[in-house]
Amino acid sequence: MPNKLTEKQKKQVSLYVCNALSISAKRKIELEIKTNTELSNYMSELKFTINATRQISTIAPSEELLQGSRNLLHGKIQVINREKSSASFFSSILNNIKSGVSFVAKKQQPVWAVATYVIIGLLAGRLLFFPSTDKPIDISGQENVDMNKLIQSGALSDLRIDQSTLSPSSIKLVSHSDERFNVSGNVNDKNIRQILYYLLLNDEVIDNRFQAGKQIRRITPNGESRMVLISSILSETDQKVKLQSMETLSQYQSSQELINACKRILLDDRNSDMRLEAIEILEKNKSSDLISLLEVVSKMDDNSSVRNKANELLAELQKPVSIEYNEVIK
Amino acid sequence: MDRTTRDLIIKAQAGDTESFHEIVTIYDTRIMTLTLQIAQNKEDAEDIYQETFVKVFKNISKFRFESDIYTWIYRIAVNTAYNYKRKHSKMIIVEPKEDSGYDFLDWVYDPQSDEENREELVMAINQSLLTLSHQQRTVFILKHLQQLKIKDIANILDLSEGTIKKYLFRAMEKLRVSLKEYHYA
Repeated sequence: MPNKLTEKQKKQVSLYVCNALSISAKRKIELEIKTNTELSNYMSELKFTINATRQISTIAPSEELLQGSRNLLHGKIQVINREKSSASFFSSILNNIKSGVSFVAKKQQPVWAVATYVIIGLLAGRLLFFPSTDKPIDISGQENVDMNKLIQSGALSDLRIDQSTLSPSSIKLVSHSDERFNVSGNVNDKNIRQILYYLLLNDEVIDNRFQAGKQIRRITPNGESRMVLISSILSETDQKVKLQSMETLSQYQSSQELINACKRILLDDRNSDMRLEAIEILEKNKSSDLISLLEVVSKMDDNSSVRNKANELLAELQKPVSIEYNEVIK
Repeated sequence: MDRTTRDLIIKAQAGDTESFHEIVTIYDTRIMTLTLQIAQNKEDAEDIYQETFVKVFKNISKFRFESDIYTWIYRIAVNTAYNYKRKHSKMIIVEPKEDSGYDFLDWVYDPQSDEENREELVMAINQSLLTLSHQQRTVFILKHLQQLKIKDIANILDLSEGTIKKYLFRAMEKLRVSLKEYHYA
């Protein structure tokens, strides 16, 4: 047993095993190992330690684990980007006010002058946040409206969909706090669509998000609404709203983003109804790429309906070309 | 660093999210392997993975091409794992289970020895790794499991090569003593 070895000899052998010695030091220790049994045993023990640990601790992550993590990361980055874009506007206003105040402070103005500038700054802030006139806000029809300004005005913060006046294609939006805001039109109007998207993704009240999602169902499917709904199924916290968005998406034509989102839902979402909807959407886009995912779901999902559905789709994907099909070919 | 990776980094720094995700795809297998090795359980490893890449995304504009991007990402991953471990006491060695997707026994293939002996060795290795300090363990993992160069490890941990060698020696010596009996068994 290598007990009589010096600390220096041990260090040299361990560095040798780590391939961290210079060529001359390496040659020297190699010669020493040949003649010193204890040193040779010591090296053998070190090599055993490294190999055994390497064999046991080298855990290759599965493709499913990686794909699931990548999808989750996609969602997180989207949220960060969204937060960033809304925060940048507010910070620019604050910076403007701050720089105005600091400019005044640097010039060593009397206190009353500084106070006046601060009040002016605050008033300017208010003017930026609220519309300057008492004219009704008219965004009906196809006229383009600056959505950022509308959001900043606060008019969208307590917007409600007036249920009483709904006809098959029309919609009326009213603001509780601002009577000037009273908009009606067609759900397919660009401005109304934008407001509905905003409400679905940003409104704090669950029921408002649900109502917005309900109206989005009536919009003629398009790429923009598809992305909004995908964003809703990936970031929504309320199950009812999320499921509604998912059901709406099942009426849409497929896209790569939708397929990826469904794969993520299938792996990550805790609601089995969501996972069932996801399989149904994937069913319309049968591809051999789904096999490994479905194999995992068919074995691992804790809900029997999801497992059965995954098994059914898996069987279809793995089914050889049918006899009838061959006959048609003939 | 090749030109394609460099271009991707530049695009990601300019705010191109797709380029960022391409960078993730290049390095995330290695990072997930590392986090599994450090955390030794899947849930914590996934959390560390997410935190690591969110930090990479938020800080990519600060990357100055002074080192390789992978050493920079490794550094973030190792620091994130340290902080995560401090915050979550649940990050402990888990015993191998038969139905686990990450059964450590799967990676030990020795037709000569029986299951019990292997399981004992697995337990012994896991216990021995726990006796190492954070630094010793990380250096050992980066060197022998991730197979990085000492120079790169020094870069990742922001320590001198001499210090890395010292940690490595201490870690190997501790593990050798704990596992010696299995070598001669």
